[in-house]
Amino acid sequence: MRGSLAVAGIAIWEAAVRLLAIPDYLLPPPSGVAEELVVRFSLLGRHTGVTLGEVGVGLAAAVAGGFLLAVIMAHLPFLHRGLYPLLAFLQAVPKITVAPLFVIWLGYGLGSKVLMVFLIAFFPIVVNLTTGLLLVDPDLLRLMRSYRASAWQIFRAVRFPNAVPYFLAGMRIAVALAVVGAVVAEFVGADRGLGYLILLANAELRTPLLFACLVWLGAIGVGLFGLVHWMERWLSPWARGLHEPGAVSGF
Amino acid sequence: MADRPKRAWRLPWEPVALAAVLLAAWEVGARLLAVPEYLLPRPLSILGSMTTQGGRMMPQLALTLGEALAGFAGGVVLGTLVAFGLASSAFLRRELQPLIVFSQSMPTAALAPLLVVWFGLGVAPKALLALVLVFFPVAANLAAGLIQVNPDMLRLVRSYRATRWQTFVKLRLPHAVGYLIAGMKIAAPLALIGAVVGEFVGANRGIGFVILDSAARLATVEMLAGITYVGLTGTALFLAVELVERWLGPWLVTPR
Repeated sequence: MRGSLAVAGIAIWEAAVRLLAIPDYLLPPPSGVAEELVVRFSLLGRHTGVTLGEVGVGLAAAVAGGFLLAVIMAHLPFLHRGLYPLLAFLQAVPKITVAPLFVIWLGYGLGSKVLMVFLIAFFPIVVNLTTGLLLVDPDLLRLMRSYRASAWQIFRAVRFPNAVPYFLAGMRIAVALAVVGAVVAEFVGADRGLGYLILLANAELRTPLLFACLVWLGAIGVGLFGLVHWMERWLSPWARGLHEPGAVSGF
Repeated sequence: MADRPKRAWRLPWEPVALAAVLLAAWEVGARLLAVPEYLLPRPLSILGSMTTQGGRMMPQLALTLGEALAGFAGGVVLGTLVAFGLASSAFLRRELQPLIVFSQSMPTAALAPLLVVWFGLGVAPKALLALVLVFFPVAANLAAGLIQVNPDMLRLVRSYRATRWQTFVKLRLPHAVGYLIAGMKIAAPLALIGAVVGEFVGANRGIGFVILDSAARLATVEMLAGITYVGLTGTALFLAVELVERWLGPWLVTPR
């Protein structure tokens, strides 16, 4: 039966913690984590809201900025030749290390986290969008040109629809990175958010609370992932190839 | 993701020129506007700090790189084992595939503090975080490569009465090597990120600690020197995997 392995895993975890009398601060049993989720619901909810807000604003900015730059690059071949390899190169650089700089610039508040989310989510979005805008069937372009279509008409009827599945594939990478970016930025310096709460729980050895934070983080990640997945089915049901879960990407 | 040609590999001049222009604008702009160095250090100061602080930072960077490489090796081995399991057992595939998709959307780096609780402030939690981050792309990509074999070839091999083992060695494994390399390319920078984030959370050594420590002292120039070293190391790791890819040959099947 599907899911039996996961259920068995949780049961073994629960039994092992109880039988071996493992202390809560080392490894809480699943029931303890569940209890913590219920008892500390308002605390967890407040900090989850903060992190979710950072992720949401940063992602929105990354989509807006990425879209703008991708459209400019798609229409200025010189800029594309110069900038695209740089952006592709920067994708492999661990951007998360810049988090402490953003804390110096913008302080412990939301700003430094939003900037981190923006920076980390921007690259997959702009790289994929540019690819989608440019990797168009040349026959379609010739057809449009033979009808004397304007640049705007070509963009609206050919390039943009072509780019949608690429954009969503980039979004799938970006949402996973965005949550990591927000949490690590909170690790580095914050007074709110799930990353802050994780460090606090860690310092006080309240491991059940730490696990509860991880559950909420997972929920955010899965929720955003599901949202993108739903958008893929809704906006580009024809592009099956790009939806395969085989292609994984990193930060 | 970059669609550069495979054979005639040359450094295109446009991005290099653009990078030079951007760096020069940064240098000149910061000088003209007299931006304080603790807010935004100039590229030349960062370069200077990289040379003067190099002696102090290299051992720290080497430690972080060691953690990253240990985690990378462990993650590749574990990911390979799990991928073999996934490819050979329909039961495991059904049970583990959703978990792997789920873990892709999990912000795994958030496990860092938990690993510190379990394994202390030493090297182990950093290498383990790197291992966890490396494991998933390797397992998912390799499993995809082993499973998504051309069905016609599978039928052909079956018509010759190939055993499971022969099918695996002659067909599935060669097909999967390109997928494995693609997974390793994603994983190489992740290994470094795992080590650095692990050091952010709790360490008294390593380049991540140096970066955080400089930030606390508002020594922004030093911090950016450290960040640049990490960036160069990440790029080197990525290029190393790419070299392995080139060495293995052009017949590799690369996933789209």
